[in-house]
Amino acid sequence: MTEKMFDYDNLGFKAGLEIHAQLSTEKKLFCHCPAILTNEKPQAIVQRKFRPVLGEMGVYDPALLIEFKKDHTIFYEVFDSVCIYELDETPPLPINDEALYDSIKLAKMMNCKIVEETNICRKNYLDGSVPCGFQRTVLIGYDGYVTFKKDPSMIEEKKLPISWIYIEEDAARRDNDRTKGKNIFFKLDRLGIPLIEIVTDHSLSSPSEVVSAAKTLGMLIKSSGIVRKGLGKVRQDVNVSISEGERIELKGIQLLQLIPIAIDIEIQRQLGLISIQKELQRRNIQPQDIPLQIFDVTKVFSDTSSDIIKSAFKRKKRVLMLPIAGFQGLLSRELQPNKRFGTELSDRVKSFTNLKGIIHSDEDLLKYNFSEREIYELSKECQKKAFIIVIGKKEEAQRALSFVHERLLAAFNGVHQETRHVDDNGISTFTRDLHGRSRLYPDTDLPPIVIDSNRVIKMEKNLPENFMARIKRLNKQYSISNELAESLIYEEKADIFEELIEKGAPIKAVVTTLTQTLTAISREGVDINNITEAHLLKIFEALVLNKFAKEAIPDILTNLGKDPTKSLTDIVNHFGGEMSQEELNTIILEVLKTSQELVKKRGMDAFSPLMGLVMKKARGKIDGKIVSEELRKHLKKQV
Amino acid sequence: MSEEKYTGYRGSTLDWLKNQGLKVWDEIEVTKAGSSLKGVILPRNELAETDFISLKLSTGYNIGFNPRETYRIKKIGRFEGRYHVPKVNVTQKPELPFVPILGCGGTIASRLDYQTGGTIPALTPEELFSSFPEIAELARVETRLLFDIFSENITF
Repeated sequence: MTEKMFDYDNLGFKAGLEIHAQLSTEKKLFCHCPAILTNEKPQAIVQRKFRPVLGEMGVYDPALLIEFKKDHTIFYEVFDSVCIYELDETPPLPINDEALYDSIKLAKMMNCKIVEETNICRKNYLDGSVPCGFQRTVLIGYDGYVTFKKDPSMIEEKKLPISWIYIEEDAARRDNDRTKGKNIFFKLDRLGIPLIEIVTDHSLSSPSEVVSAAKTLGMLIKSSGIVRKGLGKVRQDVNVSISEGERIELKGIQLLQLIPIAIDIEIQRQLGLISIQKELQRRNIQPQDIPLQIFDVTKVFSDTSSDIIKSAFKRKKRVLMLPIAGFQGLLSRELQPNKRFGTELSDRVKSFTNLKGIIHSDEDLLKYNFSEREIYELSKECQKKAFIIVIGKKEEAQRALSFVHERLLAAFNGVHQETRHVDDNGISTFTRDLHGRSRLYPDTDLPPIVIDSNRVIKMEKNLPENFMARIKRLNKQYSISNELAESLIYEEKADIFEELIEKGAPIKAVVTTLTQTLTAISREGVDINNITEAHLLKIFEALVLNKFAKEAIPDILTNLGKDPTKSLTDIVNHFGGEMSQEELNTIILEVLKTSQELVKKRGMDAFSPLMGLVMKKARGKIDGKIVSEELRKHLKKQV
Repeated sequence: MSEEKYTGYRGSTLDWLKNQGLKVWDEIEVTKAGSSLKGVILPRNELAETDFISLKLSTGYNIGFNPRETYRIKKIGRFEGRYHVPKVNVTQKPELPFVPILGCGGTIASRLDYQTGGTIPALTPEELFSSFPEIAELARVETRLLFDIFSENITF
């Protein structure tokens, strides 16, 4: 457990979860293409431009307009496995029935009500991740709940209300290797894979509750048998707020362990923003004190020796300034580890424009190689007040400063509602403002779907084994601890575990392999993704037939992981091949001979190190138990 | 034909709405087995099943519910004045070339029509300009609607 950083109750901490998981259907949601990712080279590249259309209410969604103004060109990589639906050249086929009713099954496992008639809706996206400019999304269930343990170590349980369950199309995946500047590349293979989205309410009251709830939801989803397996296939977003702050969506948290870290950093960030708000009040600064007045200060740098400015001038860029009276010292306030308020403004500029960021008066301007004279003139231009400068083509730089200005005004209200992306250290970066409602409207290509209530009732009577019940059953049937059963389920290893045991594999060896060996060799750099369940079945089949001793399992897995093209039979034979008693005795005598000193010094206590030496040569070829008995015998004679 | 306040609703569903004193654009709360949904009654797509009432939820999603099921209904408000073409003030620049645009229906700047579930063609200068404001920088435009047929309905 991580140390408690804050008094969460006192802060009015609240959190909710949004979970996404890909369904393991054979086909995509609205066409018959295979729901698989590919490593192939693209067959063709299609180029597109995006533009916003008016929403139902006759207004543009502001977030969509911002996306439009970035003026990106989108390139789609087309593969054998996609059709013209993904490219938006043909209307959708009726919704994938298997995906629809699989998601209803999951909704029922979460005690949700199922909508009687559902509309396929379009959710606008102008970032290019969906070629038609919108994602098709369908509400399936509402008002359900799951029960989870408030804290993994406690018995006390809590109900987490499930607000909504949707099924939607996964978006295209961005190809970061090819994306450069305003040219954005996407691979179309992922687009259209059925994705389930589960939205909980906002009632989790501590980071450990969030972890426990996320784990429970993960186990429930994974034990439903309808989702794709593997790391990253179940993605969780956390939304976090404190009473004086705002609800912030934290996206991209891959590992459960990162959740409490990311939450604490977000609380720290919100507290920092609130302290800036209070400081502005204390200084008696009002929003009207910082009008959007932009000055062109290009001439200040007419004979500059600053490299960034010189190279910008070569591309006909200008330097624009926004004076920000009253913000002195606030831009350098640290909100997250190594991220200041100034960084937040900069992130926003990077996200909304193609510019690289901002320079501000709280920074050490000498590091940009500005001269003393330049710095003096800049401060004269804004009457010795704080300022922000942006370097870029006039129109874009103006836009950048207007975004900065907007964000500064929001600082008077403390925390600004937005979506943020979390990195591997738990530190977040602004991605976008929360989308408005006007980007959702009914699909005109497909009629509403009436859900077959008889089918739902039948399904309800035949739901997959509840994971709580499965934990209890595994515990009883195989005498393994609840914790072990839980982690087998969470790590999606419970199925292969049961299958191996059923085939006669020894429980202890299976548990060690699944929960320890694989992790250990993965830490040593072996790619365990190369080891399939089919491989494990074969390996244990050979073990049951005594083709090798269980001690060879790590070596076999390591070899397989390093080179999956090698024949498994060859690997097993290499590490197998039984060793006779005589051969073993020869090895033991050899080891004892070379370790005379050790034996003299430590007597019977030398057993463990000697055992290690013998096992190095005998591992996998003869049962470790026999080795230990024989070694003990020989050692006793010598002591 | 259905009346304006019941656009698209027919048969016993229409009767039910009238009996409840509910109209299109009324905001209601429907409760069934302890679970509630709040939303605005939408005009009904004429091609869809007749048994359901269309609701736009506050999340923006649309669903249908069957009033014959045991729902408890509460009217909580009204949500009107939607789906108008926005008024855009366009100043045509006299120095630009004059380009007449002849409309014959189709999907240029088409708008969503709840009643048919499809799109309605739109071709007034205001509608064009509101969708493609940059046209004003390229030409002086005058539009005339010659006829109103979707391309899929045009035969030769």
